[in-house]
Amino acid sequence: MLLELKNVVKKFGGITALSDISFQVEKGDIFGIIGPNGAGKTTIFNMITGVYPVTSGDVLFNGQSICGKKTFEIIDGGIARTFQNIRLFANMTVLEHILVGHHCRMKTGLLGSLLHTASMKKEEAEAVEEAHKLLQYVGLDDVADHLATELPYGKQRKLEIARAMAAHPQIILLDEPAAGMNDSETAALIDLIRGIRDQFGITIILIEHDMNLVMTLCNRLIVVNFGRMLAEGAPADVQNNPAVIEAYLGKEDE
Amino acid sequence: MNVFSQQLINGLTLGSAYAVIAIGYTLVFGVLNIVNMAHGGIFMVGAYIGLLLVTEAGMGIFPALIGAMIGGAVLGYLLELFALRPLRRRKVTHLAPLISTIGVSIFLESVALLVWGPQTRSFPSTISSELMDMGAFKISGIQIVSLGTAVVLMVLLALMLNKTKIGKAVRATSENIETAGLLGINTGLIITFTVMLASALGAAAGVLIGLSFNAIEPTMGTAMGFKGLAVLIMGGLGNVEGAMAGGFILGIAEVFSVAYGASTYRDAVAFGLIILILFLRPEGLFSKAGKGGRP
Repeated sequence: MLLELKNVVKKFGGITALSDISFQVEKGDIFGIIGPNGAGKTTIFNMITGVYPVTSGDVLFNGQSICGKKTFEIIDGGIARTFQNIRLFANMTVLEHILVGHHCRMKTGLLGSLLHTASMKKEEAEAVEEAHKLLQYVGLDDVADHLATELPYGKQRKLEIARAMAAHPQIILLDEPAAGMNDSETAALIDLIRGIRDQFGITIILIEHDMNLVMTLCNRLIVVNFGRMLAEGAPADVQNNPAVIEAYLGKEDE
Repeated sequence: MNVFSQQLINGLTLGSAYAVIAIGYTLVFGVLNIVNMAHGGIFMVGAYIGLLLVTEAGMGIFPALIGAMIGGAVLGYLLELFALRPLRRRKVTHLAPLISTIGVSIFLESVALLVWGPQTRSFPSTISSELMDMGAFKISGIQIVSLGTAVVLMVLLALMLNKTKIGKAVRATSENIETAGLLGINTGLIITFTVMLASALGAAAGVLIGLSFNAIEPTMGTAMGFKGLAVLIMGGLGNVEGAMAGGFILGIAEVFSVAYGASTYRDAVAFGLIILILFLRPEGLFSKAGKGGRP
C-alpha cells in the first residue's frame, strides 16, 4: 500500500470539512477524487501534504504515518503536488521553476551553496541538464528561458506538472489538471498523465471535474460530497451508484 | 574640474551604501512580509564591530568588514530566534513583529550607549582620504573602498539569488511561502538564512557609512534606518533590483541638492523626490504586479 487515509476527520472551528475519509492507493494507480465544488477534495490534498493538521485519523505513506510532519518533509519523502489555481512564480523562468521543484533532491547544503564548491557546481550543472530533459518530455524545452507567466494557460498547467515531477516523487497529486483546457488539450493531458505513470512509475491521485478524463484515466476513484465519502470503486461502478447520481443530478422524483 | 561628474561620484558612493542597507530591508520583507525595524540597530552595531576590529584588534579594513558581517549575521540569527520566530508560531498580526523589532532596535541602541558611550568615534586614518585626480573627478581611497565593496556585495548577492540553489529557494519563498513549502523547500530555514544574510549586509553598510562619514555613534542607526525604509518603499517592497536603484537615486539626490545650493534642505529634497516618485508609481519603481504592499 503506497498511501492510505484512515478515518481522517478535519474540523475548522465548529465546521466539519471532512468526516471519516478512508481510502487506499496502490502503487501504479491513477486514482480519482471527484465531487461537487466545496465537497472537500482539495482539503484532502492539504491533509496529505501537511498544509493543515488532521483533526483525527491517520495518513500512512509506505506504511508510516506522515501526520504532524512538516510540508517540506512530506515533499522530501516523495509526495509532490500541483494546484487548483496555477501557482507559478512571476519572476522565474520556466527552467528555474523546474530547478526549484528539484530543490529537495539536491544534496548541497547551505555552506556548499554559498562557497560555490566544485561538487555544488557539478550538481547544479546536472540539475540543469535533467531539467532540460524533463522539459523536453513535456514539450516545453523551446520556452525554457521564457518567464513562466508569459506562457499560454495550457502550457502553464504542463509546467506545474513538470515542476512536481522534478522532485522525483512516488506520488503526484494533481488538483484539477484539466481545468480551463479545451478538448484537444485535455486529450494531450490524458496522454501525458498516462506517460508519467507508465514511464516514470509515478502514482497519480487527481481531483477533476472533467468526467471524460476521470472515466478514461482512473482505475479507481472515490466520490466526496459535503465532506463525506459517497462511493468508492472502479469508474463504471461509481457511475451507476444511485447516491452519486443523486449528488450530481438531484433525486429523480423531485 | 567638472562639478557634475564629481558630485555624481560622491552621490554614487553614498547611494551604494544606502542600496546595501535597503537590500537588507527588502530581503526580509520578501520572505516575511514585515518591515524589520531592528535593521538600523544592526547596521550601527556592525559599524562598531568594524571599528573595534580595526582599532583594538589591529585588523585591516577588509578583514574587519568580514568580521562585522559575521557579527551581523549572528545578530540576525538571534533576532530571528527571539523576536520573530515566536510571533510567527503564534500567527499574530503583522504589527506584532514591527513592534518587537522596534524593541530590539531600542535595546541595541541602549546597549551601545552603555558599552561604547555617546561620543562620536571615527576610524583611524589608515586609509588614505587624499583625493586622487582622475581627470573628470577626484576620488578618495575611502570612496574607492566604499563604492567598490558595495558594488561587489551587490554583484555577489545577485549571483547568489539567480544562480544557486539556495538563492532560488529564497526567491521562491519570497514570492509565495506556502507554494515554496509545498515544493519541498524548508521555508523556516530559508527565513533564518535570509534574516542572517540581510543583517550581514546591514552590518557591512554600517562599516561603509562609518568609513565615509567618519562618525560612528549609537544613534546612527535610526536616521539611516529611515533612509533605508524610504528606499525600500521607493524601490518596491521585496524587490532587490529596486532597492539597488533606489539607493543610488537617494544618494545622488542628496549630494546634488547639497552641491547645487540647498544644503539645509538636503533631506527635504531627497524625500520630496521620493514622494514625487511614489505619486507617479505608488507600487514602487520596479515592483511588478502581484506582490504589493500586502501579503
